[in-house]
Amino acid sequence: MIKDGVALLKAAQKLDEEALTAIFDEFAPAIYKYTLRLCHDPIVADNIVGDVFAQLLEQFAQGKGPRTNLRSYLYQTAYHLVVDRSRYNQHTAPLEIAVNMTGKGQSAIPTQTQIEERVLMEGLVTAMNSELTDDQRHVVILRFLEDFSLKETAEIVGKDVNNIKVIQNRGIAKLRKALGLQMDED
Amino acid sequence: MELNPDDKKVIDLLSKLKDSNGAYPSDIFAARREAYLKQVANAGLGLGIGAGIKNILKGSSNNAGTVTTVTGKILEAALIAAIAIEAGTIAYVYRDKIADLVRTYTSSSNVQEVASPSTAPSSPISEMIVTTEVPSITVTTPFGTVTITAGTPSPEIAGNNNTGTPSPDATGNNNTGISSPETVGDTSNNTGSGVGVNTTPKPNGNNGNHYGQTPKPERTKDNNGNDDKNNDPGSGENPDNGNKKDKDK
Repeated sequence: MIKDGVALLKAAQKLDEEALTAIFDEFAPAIYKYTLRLCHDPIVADNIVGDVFAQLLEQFAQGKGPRTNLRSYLYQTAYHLVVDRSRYNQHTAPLEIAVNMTGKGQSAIPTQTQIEERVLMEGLVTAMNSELTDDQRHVVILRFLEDFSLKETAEIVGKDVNNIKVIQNRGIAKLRKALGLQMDED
Repeated sequence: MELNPDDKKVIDLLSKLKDSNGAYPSDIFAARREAYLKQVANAGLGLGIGAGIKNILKGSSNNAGTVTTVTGKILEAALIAAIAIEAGTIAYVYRDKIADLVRTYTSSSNVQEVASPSTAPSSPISEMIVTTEVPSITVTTPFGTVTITAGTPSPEIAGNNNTGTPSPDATGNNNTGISSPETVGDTSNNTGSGVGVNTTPKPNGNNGNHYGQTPKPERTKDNNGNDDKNNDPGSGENPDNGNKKDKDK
């Protein structure tokens, strides 16, 4: 089993089956989750995962592909695929897919705090889908849900780091405003 | 750029959203993984061939040693074998067309023998007979119209260079053909028969075999019971007619 990231990447570049399988097992669920957040469709998310890894294989077979940051590369590919699809198909987000806050350890009957938190979260997801621009949504998801750094996010989205900072702050401000209004209503 | 406390609250909420349920369903994940592994297997196969070619190219560019030479020879042999197999397959598939083509070339050199036109046994003359045109007079009688010619067509034997069985009655020329003396038409008994004869075109030096194509003269007057066959010009049944002509000559 190849554990080192660099060794894994080098083995994958030589189309080592074990390395490629390990990469899929490690990154496919995360890519699926990320894609599901963006497109809100489990089938589309699954298809995009397939496309991401097919492109990765193709790149490796041509002697191309990522040299250093495999994770960032995979997210970048997924991001572009999602953007391409969203140009043709505008989805409205079903909230129950995007926000399913019922954890495994939670009891069947939610407490008052849990209900309030759930309302907040649903408000947050609604605001993300309705208030934010595409760029802002991507940056917020990559930065705060996928834990990418500013530099990595800039690479994935294909923008300057300073530009990413501006987009991020504007997005957060919009969410705060939307949640503040909702909190005021509550 | 510092985040204000309200922004921090939003970010905390976002980090909680991170743990929201969005796991890959196990059945979909398994299917996707299986498809991916197939792609990996195919890509690995393709890379194996590609890498081999790449190594060969690298080796040839570096003027490498025996390993590269052996690999090159193996590759060359494989290519030749592949070409031979392909050619054999194509030949097998198109074997009918190839056979037809070969047959066409081989049979085109053969000369077909054409049988010469058979001559009738009753008329063995093979010379060309030329008739001269004779002026005719047409008289209208109460019984009908009678055309009287000044003479019967005088057949002449044209061409003396026949190559055939020599006959003893030749006129002394180089007549080595069958050249029997009988000619079509008789000059002795047909002077008053009034027969209109169509002349054959002049040979103009072409002594082709036109025997049997001399037009038969039409009878325009009753013979009054005269069954003399000698009056029938061109019948060729009187063997003496020709001899008479020859004698006249």
